[in-house]
Amino acid sequence: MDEFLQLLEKHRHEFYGYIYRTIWDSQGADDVFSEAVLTAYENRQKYILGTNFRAWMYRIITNKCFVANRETARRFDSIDDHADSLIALQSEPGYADVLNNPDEFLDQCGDEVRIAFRKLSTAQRTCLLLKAVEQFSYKEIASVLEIPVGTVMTHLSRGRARLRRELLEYGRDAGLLRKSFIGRMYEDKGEEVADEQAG
Amino acid sequence: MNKPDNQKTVAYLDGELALEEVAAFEKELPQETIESLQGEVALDMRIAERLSGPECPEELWRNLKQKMQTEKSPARILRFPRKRWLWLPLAASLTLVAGVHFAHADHSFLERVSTVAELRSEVVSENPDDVLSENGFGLVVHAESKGGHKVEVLGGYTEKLAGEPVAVVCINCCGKPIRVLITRRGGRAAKALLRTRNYKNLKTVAWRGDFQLAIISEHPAEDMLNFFEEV
Repeated sequence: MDEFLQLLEKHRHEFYGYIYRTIWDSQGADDVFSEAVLTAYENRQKYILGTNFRAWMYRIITNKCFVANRETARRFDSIDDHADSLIALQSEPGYADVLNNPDEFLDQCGDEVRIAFRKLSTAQRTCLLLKAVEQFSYKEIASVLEIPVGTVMTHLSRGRARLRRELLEYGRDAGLLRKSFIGRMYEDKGEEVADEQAG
Repeated sequence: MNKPDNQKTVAYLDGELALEEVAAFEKELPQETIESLQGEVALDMRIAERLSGPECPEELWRNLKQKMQTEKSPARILRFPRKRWLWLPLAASLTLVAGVHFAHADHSFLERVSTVAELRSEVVSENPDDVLSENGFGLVVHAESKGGHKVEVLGGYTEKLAGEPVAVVCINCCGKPIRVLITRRGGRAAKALLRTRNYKNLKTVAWRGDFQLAIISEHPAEDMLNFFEEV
């Protein structure tokens, strides 16, 4: 098996998982993955062995994802209007307890983590996946997505905050947050907590 | 209480600050805030664990691998039959196969790119003059924005068509990808391109001295032929 094919095989799960989480219709992941891999293989002579293969591949893969999502060429020009920030979120009731025991909270959220993730914009999803899951640096992400480092940071900041807000709201609606949290949530408003709300 | 700067906070959470920057960042904050930010890091890791996967299906990978390995297999050597009367149907079959192959090959490369970002990812050299001179094409590129069209030369790369090298100059005009394919006039590649003249994205074909230029684009681009001058 040639060296390029070996590299593709080594990283195939990582690339597939990224595509599955990035495109709107995850049923199309097989098609997008096939297109990306075959395009890369057709252009393998343009890759210099020993250089950053993953960054090279993610550039091709991300472009295929955006085509699949029918995004325009100027997709990164507008930063969405959500002004959420992590700092603002930290004063939200119940949030501190989520931070103290993230495993328990996220286990109870189940599939909601993936559902909430899909509510982010494509730009936020790609930046978060490349950073948090694939461990790329800001510079590498900026190079893959062809956007400035500052824009990468903005997408990460807003994507993180939006994801947390979605999960926090789900936690409240699903009654996952403990009675004592809900008590504190309503304290300032002088409202009483119903027993069924505390669950 | 000091509130951390948002950009610095993002960089801290992402492990992008150098050790001395981390120390300086934490020095400005109360312990409670530092613990809270460290809690954010832990939350990020837990969320990331839940976002990885699924794995690539094995059957999908097997099929793709087979396709890629078949593509690079060497051609089988044909043994010509001794009986001459067998040569005529054999020659006819080969001509038919070659025609189908070239027709398919012409269309596949014309359809490949749909965005400027994809075209940019195909560029090997940012200076198209280098690509032209390395392949013996005596042309240089002088591009300029005019007539309300914003033009950016992205660079160039080399293709193969009908066994001959083709220089591809990549241009971004008003956010649309444009490729100019340069071949030797009268050569096999030039003839293959002329056979696809009625393909919708083949905008125009023209000549500059010994070279043939073909513009592939969904955007009006005939004026771009003026960018190319003979050396």
